Amino acid sequence: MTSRLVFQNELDKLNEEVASMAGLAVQAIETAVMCIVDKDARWKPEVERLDKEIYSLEQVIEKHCLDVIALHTPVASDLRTVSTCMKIITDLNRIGRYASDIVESYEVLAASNGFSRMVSIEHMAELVVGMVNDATQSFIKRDAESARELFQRDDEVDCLYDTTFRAVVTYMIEDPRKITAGTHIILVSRYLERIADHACNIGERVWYMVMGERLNPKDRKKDRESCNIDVQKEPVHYGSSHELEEK
Amino acid sequence: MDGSISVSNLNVWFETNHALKDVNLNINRNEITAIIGPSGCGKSTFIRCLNRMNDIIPKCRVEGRIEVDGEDINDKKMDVVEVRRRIGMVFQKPNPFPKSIHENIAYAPRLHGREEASTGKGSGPKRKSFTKQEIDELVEWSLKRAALWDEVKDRMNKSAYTLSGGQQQRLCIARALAVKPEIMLFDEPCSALDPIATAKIEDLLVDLKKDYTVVIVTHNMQQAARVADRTAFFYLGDLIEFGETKQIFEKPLQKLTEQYITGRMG
Repeated sequence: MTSRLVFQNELDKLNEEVASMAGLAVQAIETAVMCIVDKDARWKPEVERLDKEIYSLEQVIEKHCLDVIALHTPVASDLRTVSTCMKIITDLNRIGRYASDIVESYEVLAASNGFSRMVSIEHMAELVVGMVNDATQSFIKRDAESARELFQRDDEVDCLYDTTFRAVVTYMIEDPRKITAGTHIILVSRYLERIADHACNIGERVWYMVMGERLNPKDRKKDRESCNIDVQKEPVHYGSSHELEEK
Repeated sequence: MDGSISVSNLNVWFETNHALKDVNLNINRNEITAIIGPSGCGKSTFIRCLNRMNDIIPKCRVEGRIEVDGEDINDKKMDVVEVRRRIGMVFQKPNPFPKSIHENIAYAPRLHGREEASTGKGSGPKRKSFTKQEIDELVEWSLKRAALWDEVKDRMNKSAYTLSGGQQQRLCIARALAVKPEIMLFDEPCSALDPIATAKIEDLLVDLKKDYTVVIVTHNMQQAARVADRTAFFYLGDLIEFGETKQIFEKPLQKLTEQYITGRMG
């Protein structure tokens, strides 16, 4: 086997490892959201297990990247591939940590009926899982354009976070008994918003890997102007005021 | 003296074999320019054009301009010996003379003599013999410049063949430096050396660029990446890409360059 073939095998293996780590990260977010939305405690240990597995995979892949650099001295697109792998495993590890942080809110949210429906959390999670999935696919398929599109979708997640934040604060002001649960809802939505940012980081690295240049900041400028939802008038995302009154 | 090289429309044929095709390239002073490419791509042919070494190959035809400090070195009026003095060359295998270490360095300066300022109208520069002391000083200077002095100063009269391969190569570099060139050409200078000797030569190359224009042909891409400021990639006689070494190794513009440096071709 020629050295290029050996090297190519190593790169293929590295790609597979990163793809499988990304798969676990997606699984972790989905399970974490299921845990708090369905109030099902059985999922909590599963998320913690996934988080640990993701962490150990990060160690394995980082070591693999260093081995490839030391033994094969990659250049050009090969070097960008290895450096991208090293960077995005950190993002995937952070995603795993956030999934674990989300289930930390399980006890508080399970005991609270105030935000029982948590519609926007589910919707946000759906968007975020889609973003992480697409970030992973853009890496696997070396698709720079779909990597760039992640930034537009991140704006949507940011808007949802802002909306959630303002709505929950409104409810907390109305009823101080909801402060604990409300704070946890804000935390969970914040974690999801951060996961979306990590998906964008992955997209940014994929862009660099494919194009060999940094993504122009102008091309990923967020349009926060469009996020003008008046939460006082539209609290419907979280169920009616009547439902909230019940608690 | 500037020492910059400007190559325009360079074509070389060996009988019917078109070895270099319309090469255009500018080589800057105080820089190391690396020439890379697979075997038979014309990189050695190119570097040998720079000091007219191809003149000695029968049925080799060179067309185009190679200007050093604005002078075409292929001009019929050019003294080829003077061209090769100004543009020194070190080859793949160390080739010291079968003489003492001292004599290896002293030989060429003794032959060339020392240039003296012209004395009258119409008279060119005259050459005068070196004194023994001047020769000794020049030998010491050359060996120091080639980072070999400390290793050989106590055995200057021993045969050059008693030196290791790496030392012999540095002796050849010192020998080229002794005639005060402006440009130094290296044709795979480390291919016969071990990694430690290679590292010493590479350090020396980086040091030499402060005073000289350096051109190096290398098969070792990592060597080009380590030492060169600019890199030219040749393939089948064509200059495919020429640019800053960082750009060539991080984001080559041409697909062929990418394929070669990543080992997918060659």
